[in-house]
Amino acid sequence: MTQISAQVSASAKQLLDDFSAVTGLKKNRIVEDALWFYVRARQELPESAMVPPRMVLSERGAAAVERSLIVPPAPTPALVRLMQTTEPPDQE
Amino acid sequence: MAEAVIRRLLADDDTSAFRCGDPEYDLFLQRYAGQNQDRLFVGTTYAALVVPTVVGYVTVAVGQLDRDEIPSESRRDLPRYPLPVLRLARLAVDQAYQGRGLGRRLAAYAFAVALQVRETAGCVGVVVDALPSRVSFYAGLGFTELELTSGNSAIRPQPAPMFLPIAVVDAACAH
Repeated sequence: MTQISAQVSASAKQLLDDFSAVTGLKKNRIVEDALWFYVRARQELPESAMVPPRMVLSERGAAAVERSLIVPPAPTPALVRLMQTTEPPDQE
Repeated sequence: MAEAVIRRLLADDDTSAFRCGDPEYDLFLQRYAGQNQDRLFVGTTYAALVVPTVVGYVTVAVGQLDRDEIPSESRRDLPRYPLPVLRLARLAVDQAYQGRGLGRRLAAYAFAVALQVRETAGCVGVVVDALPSRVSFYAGLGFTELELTSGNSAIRPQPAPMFLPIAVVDAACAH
């Protein structure tokens, strides 16, 4: 065994802490497993086939998202028409 | 022309003849969508089929919106980061089926999946990676462009990430 240290975002550390608390897994185990999954995925898929799971908002972007969540706009007529004709997703 | 049905992509579905006009989207369906979904668990593809042939698809993945610096002051009205979202990463329709509303059906299907995810795992909204030619379509549905510092799609031409709160989708269904 060896030791590493890394600067990460506060939310990444929180995610690690929360996942460890919920699952009971040790943090070094989670980091090691996650790394193996990530590297394996990157080896098998081109970058364009990956969907980045984490999107970091700029300050202005965060403010816009927060406004829209606190006071959601009314649906547009086009969205209403679209969703009126939607079939329910399958339940697999 | 037969009506397409939409459901989760299966290993036996025939993707070999799919041609949407962008070879990268064809290749993604034929080579990567299945393993993304069934082996790596990093995204799910819903296929529009004229059985057994895939004539359109939409690929979604769970994601999260985050910000680099969380405001130190605790404001009760602010959402708690990270914010869970459903990301609509790819949508394509075979050239023979374009112009028949199938892309709209696939988009609506993905929004309905987002409503399900809200109930089962939490989801505050939908992020769509809109190709430059589709930005006005999604803007008409109420999506607004997101300003990201990282997490942009690697697809080229680079799509614009756009956001719609799930509450707006819900309100549209209740109309």
